[in-house]
Amino acid sequence: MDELKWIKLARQGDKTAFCNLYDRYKDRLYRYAFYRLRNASDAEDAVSECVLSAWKQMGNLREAEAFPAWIFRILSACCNRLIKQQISTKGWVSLEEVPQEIQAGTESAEQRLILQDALGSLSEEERNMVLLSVVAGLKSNEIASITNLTAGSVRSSLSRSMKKMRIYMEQR
Amino acid sequence: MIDKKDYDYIKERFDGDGLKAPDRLSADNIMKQLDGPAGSSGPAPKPAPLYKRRWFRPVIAAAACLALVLGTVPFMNLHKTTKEGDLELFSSYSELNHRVKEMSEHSMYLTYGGYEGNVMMEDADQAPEDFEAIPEDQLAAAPQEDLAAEPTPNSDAPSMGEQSAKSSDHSETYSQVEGVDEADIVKTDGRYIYFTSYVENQVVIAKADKGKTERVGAINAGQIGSTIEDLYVKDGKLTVIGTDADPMDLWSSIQRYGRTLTTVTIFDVSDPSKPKQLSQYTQTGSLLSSRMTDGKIILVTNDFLHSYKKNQCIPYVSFDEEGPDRLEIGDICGIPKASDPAYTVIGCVDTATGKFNKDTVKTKAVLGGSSEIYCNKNNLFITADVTEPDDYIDDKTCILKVSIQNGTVQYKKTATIPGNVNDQFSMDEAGGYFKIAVTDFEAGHDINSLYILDENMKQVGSVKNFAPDEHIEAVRYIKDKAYVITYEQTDPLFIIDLKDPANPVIEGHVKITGFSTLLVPSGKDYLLGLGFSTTSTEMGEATDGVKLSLFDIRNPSAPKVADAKEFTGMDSEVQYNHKALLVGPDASYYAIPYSQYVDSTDSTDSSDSTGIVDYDEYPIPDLETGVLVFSVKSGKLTDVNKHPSKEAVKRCLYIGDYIYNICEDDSIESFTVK
Repeated sequence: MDELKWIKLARQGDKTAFCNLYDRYKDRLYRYAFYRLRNASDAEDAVSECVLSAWKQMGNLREAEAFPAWIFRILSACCNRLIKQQISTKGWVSLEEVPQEIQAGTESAEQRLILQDALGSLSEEERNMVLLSVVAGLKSNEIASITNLTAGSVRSSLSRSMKKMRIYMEQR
Repeated sequence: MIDKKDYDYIKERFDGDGLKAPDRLSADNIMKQLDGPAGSSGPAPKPAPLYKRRWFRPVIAAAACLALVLGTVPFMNLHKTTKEGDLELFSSYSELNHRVKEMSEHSMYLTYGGYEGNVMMEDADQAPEDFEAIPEDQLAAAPQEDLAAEPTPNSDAPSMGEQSAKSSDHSETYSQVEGVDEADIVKTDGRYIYFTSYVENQVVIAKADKGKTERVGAINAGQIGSTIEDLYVKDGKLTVIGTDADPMDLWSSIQRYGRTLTTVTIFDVSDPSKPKQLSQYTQTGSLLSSRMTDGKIILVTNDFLHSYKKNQCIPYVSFDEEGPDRLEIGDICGIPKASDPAYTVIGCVDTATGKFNKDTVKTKAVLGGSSEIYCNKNNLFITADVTEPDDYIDDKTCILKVSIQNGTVQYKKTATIPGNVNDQFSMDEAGGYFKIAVTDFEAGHDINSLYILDENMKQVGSVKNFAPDEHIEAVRYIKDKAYVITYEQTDPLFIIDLKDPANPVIEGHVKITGFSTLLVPSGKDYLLGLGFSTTSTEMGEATDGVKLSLFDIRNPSAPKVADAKEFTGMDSEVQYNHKALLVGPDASYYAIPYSQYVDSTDSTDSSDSTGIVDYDEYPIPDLETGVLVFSVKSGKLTDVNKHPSKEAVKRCLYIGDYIYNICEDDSIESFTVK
């Protein structure tokens, strides 16, 4: 079924439609949260908090087309909150802190490590923008609305951050 | 602007990371947790509003991306004619609330803000009682802004262009206007180096002595906000600008998700091993830019209102541990027809006493978001992109002039011109005239124009429609001339004579391959351009490295390319950010951080006869990082030397005879030039 139809049905309170919709987004949401929070359990918390909150607020979503940016906006806010918690409880989470499950030694685990390192070379804000662009697939003007920046500065920042990440990863 | 190759490369890596949402997050498990119908705690689903403006209809059809045309922060909706600035005042908070609500009905931008945090914030609907209790009539009596155009004292702040390079024992952040400092991630006072560390999320203080450095102190981000943005150092005081993405811990009852706070925290660093926090000031909004002049920081933030709630749409400030204080109604202005629910918040923060309070900090806000600022010692000019209701592709720029003299913030006038500014260097004010160069998109073509406005922001002269199909990449105003670089096909430098403000004329131009993104005066006779080298490809011209150009501007009607150097495969932050440029003492040398791919082995095919590539022998280009140093002597680029570093360099600075590289991994390297 067409995604827009699901969105419209979910907005009217259709639970199944909402879950079908969520199923389509869940890996993207989880991947975004994983790289922002740098560990699996916080990422799970963020995604479930996000999806429950999104369900409660579906009625506020005026334009169905805006759903991707809307849901990632919610998730971004959940992650921001958890990052603040991480800072206040553990001081600062060191970028070297490698979640255990990704030390498995498989190729994709290796890939995750490289990605985490490369993201670690960026500032928190740059990381967020790269993830919103590449993982969430949002456009720069949509990212601008989430990060409170202008679309132009999102584009120039993304351009630099991505170059930096690529150079970093190619060195590995 | 985003390189598709970079995007695809990174996307592919993410796609191959094998990450999948765990079982706990499966749709079935989530389904079990959902209770009640959608929107059960939010407002009931509403039908899409009927937009009064007909231009919204095609936008709706064109969906989310166009909805976010508004994401570029229109300042105001304009009528066909360009109007002189006339800022609107509000007699009460309820009138302001009404305006914001009205805007919210027309703004699709606001639809994204539906996130009210219902799950985590129990009391989002209730503003604290003390806010509700302020009687409107008392507030209505707030002093009104004097909007009458006052004669402006000559704003003759010389641009850096006129200034002969100063001899100093240490460098300062490269800035646009002499006497107006710009915040950066690295600062020095000649004895210590202060820099922000992304690795440890703190400000690091290192002692520098004859090329040797030693860490002596640090300030953790926890003291400032979750992200450290920028620094200023002046008179034994370090000022740190930080942003807090999600301040719910602080003011959870009145804040909502998505609102950003910007903090200014001042430290006594007379003993750098024990930085002592003196005071902290906070204003709502995310950091756009800041300047420091005469010990006063001009802080400009964009306070986006993602959703409308009664009494929650007012910008706030706070001092130290004191609770939030919303701005007086008399300190908030609106521009008639402003369409976007964002405020530009302007704080003028006097750092002299080291104590922030209502006497040392003045804050005002204007309804409408902003995109670039230009600031000299007297005035601040803020630009915002404007989208015309009837023709939403045709962008305009609105400029708001604000007087910042004597520690006050006073709105003056607005003006609107067609086109968009490239960056802060596109603007200048001297001798009472404001100049702005823009690129406009008209009938499928880029065209460029330069406008001159008087002190009342009335247009007095212009050069229109030059360099068709090119767009502005760099501008520099030096005395009564403007130097403009455009890029696309022929990449020329234009010299525009501004002696007669009513009749500016293009005096001369010279073509060159590649384009500069930063123009730096080198003595009276030369202009140094830093930017990109380009190469022709099937897809048209593409950038492929760093290019330094030296223009001979002695004869403005016939400028010449005196010298040029290209570095293929090289990248430098200076191509995007003027703060990455280091100008040596008396401009005896220039230095920029770089990274460059260097082929370490010959490029012979390393696959053997079986066609299997042996990756151990496959030549991978090495990435070299370091600092490129060069001089300008007798009209030539001379002494061009690369000083490789172990780690990528964020910034370089000098203290005495030593150049220090502040690296991405927080290490500091040093070397001497000759």
